[in-house]
Amino acid sequence: MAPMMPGIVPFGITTGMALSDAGLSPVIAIVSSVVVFAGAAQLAALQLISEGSLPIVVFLSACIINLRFSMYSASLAPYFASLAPRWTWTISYLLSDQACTVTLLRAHQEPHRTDLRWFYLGGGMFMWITWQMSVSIGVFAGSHLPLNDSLSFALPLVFMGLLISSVVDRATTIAAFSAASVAVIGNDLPMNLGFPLATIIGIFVGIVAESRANPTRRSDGSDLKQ
Amino acid sequence: MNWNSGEIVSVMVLLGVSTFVLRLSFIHWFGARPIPPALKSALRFVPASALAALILPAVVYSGDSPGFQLENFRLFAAAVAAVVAWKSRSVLLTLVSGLGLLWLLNNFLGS
Repeated sequence: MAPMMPGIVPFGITTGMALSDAGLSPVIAIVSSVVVFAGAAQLAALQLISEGSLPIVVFLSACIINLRFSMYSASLAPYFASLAPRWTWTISYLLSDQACTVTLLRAHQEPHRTDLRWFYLGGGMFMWITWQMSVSIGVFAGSHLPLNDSLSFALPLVFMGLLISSVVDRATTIAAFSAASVAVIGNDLPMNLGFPLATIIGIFVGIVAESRANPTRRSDGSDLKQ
Repeated sequence: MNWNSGEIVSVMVLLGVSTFVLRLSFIHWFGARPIPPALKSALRFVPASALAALILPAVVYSGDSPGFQLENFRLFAAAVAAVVAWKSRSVLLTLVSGLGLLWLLNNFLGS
């Protein structure tokens, strides 16, 4: 967990500053971060809001970014789905990229341990506290310091740092370049529809690129259990 | 449109609910059944596509001199930050290098 902190802290601080810059009061900003607890989607929503997108475009775009949580939910379900509802609700709320990754690694390395839920809970709580503290620092910094225009450049830089961990092979690289090109070309489309359109085309091009690279193999991503 | 804080809060609440539903999906409702392979291979490309589609327009069409032109220092700062991100895989170094270089360019080459 600790090695992931250097990425989470500046990401959370930037999100807090963006919440503050959007005009939310400090308390509302922090409450919204507790309710959503999905930084990439929240920051993407704030980016699109600052560009004046329509609510439906902002909401659907953020949902697209959050679709990966259903994949994490599916990869953890073999270990946690049979637990009592108080566990499944808590585990679901705390689901994050990092908590999911370390828990799957642990389950793979030590399959006979029965305390996996506690391991997950520890990692998930650590991530949650680190995230909320980072957002709070950003919110208070944003409401006390004069935020100049550099915040509008900090957002894409944070996304860039996050993008690198999603670009893992040739097909994901092609998907990213396709989506970026379409987004720039489609920037003048009404209602900021360029963003969802670019994302969908990126996904489609990625699937095509992968099926051409491996025509015989069904692509199902990498799964630590297998 | 220009958003007021009530509208932002409404979208955040909806986003919180939909995110929680996605998180609950398999752990709480569907259980230990596999995701259809076609859906799984599509989901693999979502973060790369969505983040890339956010980044480039935000770099190109913002700041004092938006667009593809030499005066748009954000293009150069972002290009260097992209190399830093690729080599270091660090959010912090990407932020520091990008913001730092933009500050230098604005102060020493800006009008």
